[in-house]
Amino acid sequence: MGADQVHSKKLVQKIMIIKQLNGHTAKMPVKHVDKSPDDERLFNKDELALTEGVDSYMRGFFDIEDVLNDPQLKEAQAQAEMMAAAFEGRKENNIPGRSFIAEALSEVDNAHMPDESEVENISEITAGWVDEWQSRSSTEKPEKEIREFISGSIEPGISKPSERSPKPVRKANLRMVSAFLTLSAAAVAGIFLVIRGLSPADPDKLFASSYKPFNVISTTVRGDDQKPRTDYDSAIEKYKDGDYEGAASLFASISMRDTSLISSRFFLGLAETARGNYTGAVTQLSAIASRPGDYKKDALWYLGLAYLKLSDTKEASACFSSLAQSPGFYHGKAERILRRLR
Amino acid sequence: MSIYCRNLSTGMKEYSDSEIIECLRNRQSHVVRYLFDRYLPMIRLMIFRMGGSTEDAKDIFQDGLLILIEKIDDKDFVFTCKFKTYLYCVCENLWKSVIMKRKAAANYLSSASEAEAGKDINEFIDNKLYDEIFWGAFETLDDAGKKILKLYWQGVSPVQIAEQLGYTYGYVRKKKCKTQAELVDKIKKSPGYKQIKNSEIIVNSIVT
Repeated sequence: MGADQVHSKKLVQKIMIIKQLNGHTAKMPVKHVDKSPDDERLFNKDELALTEGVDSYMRGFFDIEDVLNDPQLKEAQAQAEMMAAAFEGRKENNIPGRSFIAEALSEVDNAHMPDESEVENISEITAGWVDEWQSRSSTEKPEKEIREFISGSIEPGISKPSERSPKPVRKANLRMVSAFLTLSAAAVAGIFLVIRGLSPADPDKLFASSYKPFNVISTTVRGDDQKPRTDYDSAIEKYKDGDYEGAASLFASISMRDTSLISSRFFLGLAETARGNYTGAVTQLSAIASRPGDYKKDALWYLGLAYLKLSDTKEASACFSSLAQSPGFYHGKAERILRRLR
Repeated sequence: MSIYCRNLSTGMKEYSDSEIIECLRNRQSHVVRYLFDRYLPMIRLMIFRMGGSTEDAKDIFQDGLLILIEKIDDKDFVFTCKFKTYLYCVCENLWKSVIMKRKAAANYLSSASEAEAGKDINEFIDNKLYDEIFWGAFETLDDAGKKILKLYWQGVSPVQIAEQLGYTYGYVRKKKCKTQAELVDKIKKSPGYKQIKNSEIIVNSIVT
């Protein structure tokens, strides 16, 4: 390979790098990029893409610098090495969580869909599709099937258009009846909402509509079948299987042995809630909810629900207020309950 | 600082590590999107530096996150380091094993041309390209602009930048935009960038 060829090859590689950098960032959703009015005024489209490329590179650069200066880096590296090695051994398996990430990121990809205005020659392209469709002979067209699929998808209960019996309909009357029914339904719904909004909800009903058993994820890891199961594992499994009596009993014995085990006390509170011992649940959960930790928010939520069931709306409101004031999974749910309690 | 405060500089909500862990444990997809936007540049740059591409970075990012989610689900595992550090280290390990596999595959095929191709992959990223163009231009900016941009890239909000540097919020925003514009201008005028753009035009005209 001559010197010129090597030079050309390297140049092409460099172009690819720049293209990757600019190409990727061009696809970034607008909402994630700081396009303040000032930026729009200062940069044209190319410059904005270049700025985004630089921003992306620099953020990555400083993040790496931050990681490499992390005093706990060596510890993380040692753990990461083991994690990656364990993962490599079973990469092709259907690992839980993969579909969750894929779905979450497919939403990102959808968010990257360009605007119509950004797609060049869109009208030419679609015109081509129409021409292609029209040029096909009628026997080639899967028209009926597609139409049925679309209409079926929109109105699943509706019969096929061709099968509908042609009934003579007086359109004007039908419109009036339809408008009257719509208005009546809206009025009834409005009255219902006003009545519901003005009167505080029944705590029991609120509990029933809000309570769901905690979504427990098994502590048993793939490949751990040979390991002896701990009482904690068994208790978790019992809770998952709906054996709340058994779970409460096991969690209680674990908590008795070691009162510092937060998770056992938390799950004991959940099991007590599930089996209807709300006073017991309050005892366990209030201890968890009163101090910072992994289970604080979850404990607050279930504590609030237990108070609802005990008709102590004041304490319940205090729990939900705390959740409503902080962001996270329970924020919106707590706000809704608070509105109903007022 | 509020753990969920809106980061004005990046347009993203910032999550604390405990917030990230809580959301991942509850399978809230918005946190995956946040992590993707927030940390993909870091993973991409790391993988670029070790001869990979954006697509490689996306794959590795997903696998790395998958491993961390498994650890989050394991109640016995305690996160003793920063989430970002874990993500970086896990992805680095995964990528190294990919490189090893690719090299092994190239050796297995064992033709001279394959070996040559393997070398090319390793040489694929010339980090000096970034350093020469981006850093070169950056270093010529004035001190105030450099400080503001550095903090901005580190995810610090304009309000906090103003507090840290003793400027007004308005000045920080204006100075940031002005310095960014200056940086872009300098990059565009740098000989390296011009050379690349010219070569790109030539290559495109040949390819198309």
